Formats: sequence, structure tokens, C-alpha cells
Amino acid sequence: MKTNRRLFITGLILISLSTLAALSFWWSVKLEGPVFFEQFRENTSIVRTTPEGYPAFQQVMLPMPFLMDVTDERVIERVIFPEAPWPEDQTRIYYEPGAGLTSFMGTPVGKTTIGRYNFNTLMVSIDLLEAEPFGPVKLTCAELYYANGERETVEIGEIYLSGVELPEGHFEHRSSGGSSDHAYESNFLVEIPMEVLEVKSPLMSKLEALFEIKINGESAAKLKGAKLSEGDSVHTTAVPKGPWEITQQFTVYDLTPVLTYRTTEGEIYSQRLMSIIENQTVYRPENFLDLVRYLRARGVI
Amino acid sequence: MHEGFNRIFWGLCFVTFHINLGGFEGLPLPAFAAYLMVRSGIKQLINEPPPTEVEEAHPKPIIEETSTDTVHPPTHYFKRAATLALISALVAVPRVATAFYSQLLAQHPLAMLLNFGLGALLDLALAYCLLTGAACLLEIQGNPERKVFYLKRLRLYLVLLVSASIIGIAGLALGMLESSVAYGIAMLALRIWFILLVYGLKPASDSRPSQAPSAP
Repeated sequence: MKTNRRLFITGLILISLSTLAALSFWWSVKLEGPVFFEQFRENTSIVRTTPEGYPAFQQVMLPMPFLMDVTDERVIERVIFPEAPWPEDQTRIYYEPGAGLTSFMGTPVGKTTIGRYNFNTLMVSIDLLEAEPFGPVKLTCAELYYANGERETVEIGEIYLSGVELPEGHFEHRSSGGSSDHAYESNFLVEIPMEVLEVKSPLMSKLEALFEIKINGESAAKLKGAKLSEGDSVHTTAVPKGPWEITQQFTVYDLTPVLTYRTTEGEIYSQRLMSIIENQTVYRPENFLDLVRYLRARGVI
Repeated sequence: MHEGFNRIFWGLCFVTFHINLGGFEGLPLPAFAAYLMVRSGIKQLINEPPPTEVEEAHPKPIIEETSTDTVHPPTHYFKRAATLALISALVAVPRVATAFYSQLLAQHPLAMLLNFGLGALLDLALAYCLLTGAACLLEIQGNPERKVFYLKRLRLYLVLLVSASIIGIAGLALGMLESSVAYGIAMLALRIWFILLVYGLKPASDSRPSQAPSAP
């Protein structure tokens, strides 16, 4: 009986202490506002003119996954990119569970609770009517407007929007894909003789630290001045270097290097080579502790 | 079975098993009413104690075993158990609107943790007071073997319940318990075992002489 009483008192103390510890932990990981997963994305649109002479309509879709505290009941009603040169009303939003990957299984709002965070994906669409090539337009922050009238500015990483003219009959896209180990590749068939002038993009240098990017087995810099003949292929690969840190695991990467070349007629064109498909972990977070580690690494909590 | 233990047994059954109707705890009883049933059973044990054969052998309500370990009469533990059952009933009142209550807790994670911790503490205290009181009753009835048997079972139950509660609290805080069916089944099994322990008190509270332990 004495042992039981000791066990009982010890149990009371242990349960009380563990409850207090759990409460302290949950208090310490509370989010004060929405946290958007950082994106390092290059989005290239094809600019063209209709046969009637009007600029063709282009819609840029940006899936923006984010976390909010479960106690935060605010609803984001509108997003504005202050750095974008277009009128604000060209940017629209809607909620899409899993960035369209799991929408058939999702709830109407697409909200998923992981620990004390709500995960959601905001789909931002920018309607463009551009007749001329543009950009790159750099977006690093977004202004959020809530349904209750509040407003907040959040960091979103670096998104570059570009518009390019796609010359017809110069390249043929053969294949592209990625694997679960984040390795990606794309294949283009060269249809006319050309001289490579450069391969670059705004995020190229930043992402080269994370990915080993090769074009026809060489680094992008070595391709400068290369002569390509009709029937040659441009094979681009991107393989992640080493294990990714927690912040990199929850970051969206979308690299589209642009190959600039000169034809035998002396005209200069550009061709988008590949898109490193976004890190899917961002759209399917499952582990609460991983999210806590990520948010701590970003200094948000 | 003594009507008191009978009520406690059925009360604990209804606390554990009930059907929710339209988002509300319904059949056969909502949890708070089931806890009140447990309390009424305990009160019955206090007010109408089961007959004892060797009452004369234990006339003193308090037996001093050692200078530091005082053994109280069963009513001492039963009174505490009755109070704990009442607190449990009060805590369980909001659970009547179970759908709304769950939604509320989901939106207030700190309240959810606090609710879980408080529930674990109440379960632990109720089990300790109830089974310790029953063990004291068995001693007064002249069943030292059954008393030892129940004290051993109580010891194991306390260890398991404390371990499960700590795992539950940690799992909830670390976001690993929300969809754990295994944990739910383990907790249910533990509760069923406790109910069966209470059910096994039947011979102890009968007026007939009791035999060897038959409890689980």
C-alpha cells in the first residue's frame, strides 16, 4: 500500500510536470502570423501576339504554401506584390489543397492541421497581357489582406517573372522529369545550327551551390561559344549536392536557365532549358517537429 | 454484487462507451452523467458499507502500521473517490456537445493539452482511491489474499496509466498522436482492464465468504 501511494504521488507529479512541459513547448512554438515557405523560383511566360495583333493572354500561376497557427483564424482574402509593375487587380488568389496535387482528396478550404499549425496553399494567379518580352521582375515580398481588414507584409523568397518570345523551329522539347531524390533532367533537340552565347538565369549562381547543374555533361559556363548542329541534343541535369538542411527541405526551387544563342543568320534568341520541379515536401508536410525545426532555423519562432 | 460496486462498474462502462448522436453524447448516458453514477455507487459504499465477517477483529478505523505509513479505513479513500468522480463529472459536462467541444479544443491547442493532462490526473487519482479503498475493504472482510492481489494489480495499473499518460501528453505536444490508432486502442484496453478489476470486486462485496481471486 505504501508502494502504491508512492507510485500514485510520483505519477501525479510526473503527469503534472509533463503537462507543464508540453504546455511550455506549445507556447514557445506559437506562430504570430502566416509563414510562407520560401521560394526561389524563375517563372518564364511565352509572350506572343495574336493574329489580330493583340497581345495573347498569359496567366502565371504561383502556388504559395504557408503555415498559420491553429489559433489564428484570419483568412487571407487578397495578395498584392508591391514590386510587380502590373495593376493590382491583375493578381487574384484562391485556395488549393496540395497545389493541385491532392485537390480531389482535399477539403473545400484545403486546410490541414499538423500539430499546432494549419497548412494551406494559396494559389496566386497573375493575368498578363504583354506584347513584348519583359523581366525578370523580382518579387521578394507579398502584402496580405485579411478578411477582417488587417494587413501584413511577408517574405516569400525570390520569385523572378520573365516573358520571352519563343522562336519556332529552333528547339524541340523531347523529355523532362524528376525523381524522388530531387534529381532532374530535360532534353531538347536542336533543329537549326547555332552558336551558344550564354546560359544564365537570375538564380543560377545561388542554386549552383545546392545543385550540380550540367548541360551536355559540362558546366553551364563551359557551354559558352559551343557550336550546336541540327540534330544535336541539349541535355540538362540537376542533381542536389549533399544532404539538404531543414530550411532547404522546405524551400521551393524552380530554376529555368535560359540559353541565349546566335543563328547562322546572325539573329539572337533565347530558349528556356528546364524547370527544376518544386520540392514536393513543401506541399505535403507531415511531421510537426520538422516544421518546428524549419521555423526555428528561419528564426520565426 | 454490492449495489455500490455494481453502479461503479456500469458508470465506468458508460463513461468509456457511449454513442454520439448528432454531435452530442447520447446513449446510454453522457460521460458526466456516467461519472455521477460512479459517484452515487461510491456514496452507497460509504453510506451502506458491505457486511464484514471479521469486523470485530478490526474495530479501529485507523491502523498504525509504521510510524510513517498510516492505513486509513475504506471510507477515507471512498470519500476522496466520490469527490474525484464529482470533479470528473463537472469536467465532462462540456463534452456533452462533443462535436463543438472537439472543434473548440482543436482551435485552442493549449486547452487541449490541459484537458488531456487534467483527465489523466483525475483518472489516476480516481483509480487509486477507488481500488485502495476496495483493498482496505477486503482486509476488513478478512480477505488478505485478495487485498494483496488488488494492491498488486493497482500497482501495475498505476505504472501503466502514468506511462501511457506521459506518452500521450508528449505525443500530443509533438504532433505525433493525432492519428495514432494504436495509442487509442492501448488506452481503451487499459480502461477496460480497470473496469474488469472493478467488476472482479463482486465476491468481495457479497455477504457470502469469498474465495480465491477471480479478477483479471
